[in-house]
Amino acid sequence: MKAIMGAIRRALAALMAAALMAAALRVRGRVGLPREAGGWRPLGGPGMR
Amino acid sequence: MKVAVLGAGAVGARVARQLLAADTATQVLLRDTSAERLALAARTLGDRVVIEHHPFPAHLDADVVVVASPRGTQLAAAEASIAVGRPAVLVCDGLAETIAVLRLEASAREAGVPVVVGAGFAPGLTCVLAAHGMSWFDEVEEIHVSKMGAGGPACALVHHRALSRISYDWRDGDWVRRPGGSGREMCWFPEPVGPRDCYRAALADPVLLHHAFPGVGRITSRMAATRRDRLTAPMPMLTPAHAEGAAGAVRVELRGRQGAVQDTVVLGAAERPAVAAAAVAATATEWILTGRLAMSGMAGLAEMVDPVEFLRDLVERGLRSEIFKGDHASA
Repeated sequence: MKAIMGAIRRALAALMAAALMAAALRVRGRVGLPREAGGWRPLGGPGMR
Repeated sequence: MKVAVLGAGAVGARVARQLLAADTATQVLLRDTSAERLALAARTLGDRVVIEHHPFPAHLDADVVVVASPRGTQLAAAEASIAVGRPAVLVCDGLAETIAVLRLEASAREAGVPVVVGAGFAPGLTCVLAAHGMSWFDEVEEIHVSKMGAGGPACALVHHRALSRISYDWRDGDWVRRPGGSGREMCWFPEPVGPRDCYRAALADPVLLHHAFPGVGRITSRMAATRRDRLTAPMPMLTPAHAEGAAGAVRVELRGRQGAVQDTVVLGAAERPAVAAAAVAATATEWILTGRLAMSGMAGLAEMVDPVEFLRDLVERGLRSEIFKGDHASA
């Protein structure tokens, strides 16, 4: 019984460590939207440019 | 002139309506295997439409055949059309089916009939935009296509599956296979769509663009998707698709050389995909009926039409293409 409880504790600890690492990577990896300089305009004129 | 439209879905019914509105076709034969879809289309179309509840490829008695039927039925329709010597416009967007259809190229050339493959929003308008973008450069090294949105339910199913299939990108003389749903890249589409995360998917654009521009070193395609789209891609569709599709957009980025200068040109368009696909297919059909196609045999729109004239015709149908002016066109 003690061995099973120990295994469960170790599994939970491993899961928590993995979750913390994933959360840290996700937060650090978030850079938001790149700034858009410029914009879309319709093609037109004789050459559709 | 008589046009047979196979498929009375979101795209097929609109193609029939646009052909009749432009008076290029005197009669349209609208065929589908679903009585419900036909009844819906018949209510909105006039007397010049003959409704047929019939399997798709049989008895193609028309001057041009527009194939807007669901995935899995387009190859048989293309074969039947070539066999009876009828020009065809295929609104296919599935990768596997497009490759299978392109294997009929020799048959179409021998029969001397024009067969336009991929005459929708993407592929279709994307191919025309790529052909148009080539005129900016002395040499194009890369073409990157991205798309957002789907047309009717049949199109939505193809898109859903595309994210869980292998994508094919052309890179330096060979096809590179990558898992669908990988390779996130943020792309800025024309408004109102704006920036979206796009991923690799089993899309037909690189195949058609490589066919048209074999000298371009790198051709890729991506589609916009959410985390839920990627998570549920290997499963059956959990929610029914929108009957008409929502707002969508396409974006074509070309990188190359103008003189000694490296440059990038980004072209795009925003429209509901079914509406845009119908405009492209109807315009391609009119070009066949009026003998304006550049060649016989089988190819995508990039090889078959003059892009400037084609884009101008699309503007008359309400589909206006755009160009991105500025920096940071992509993330």
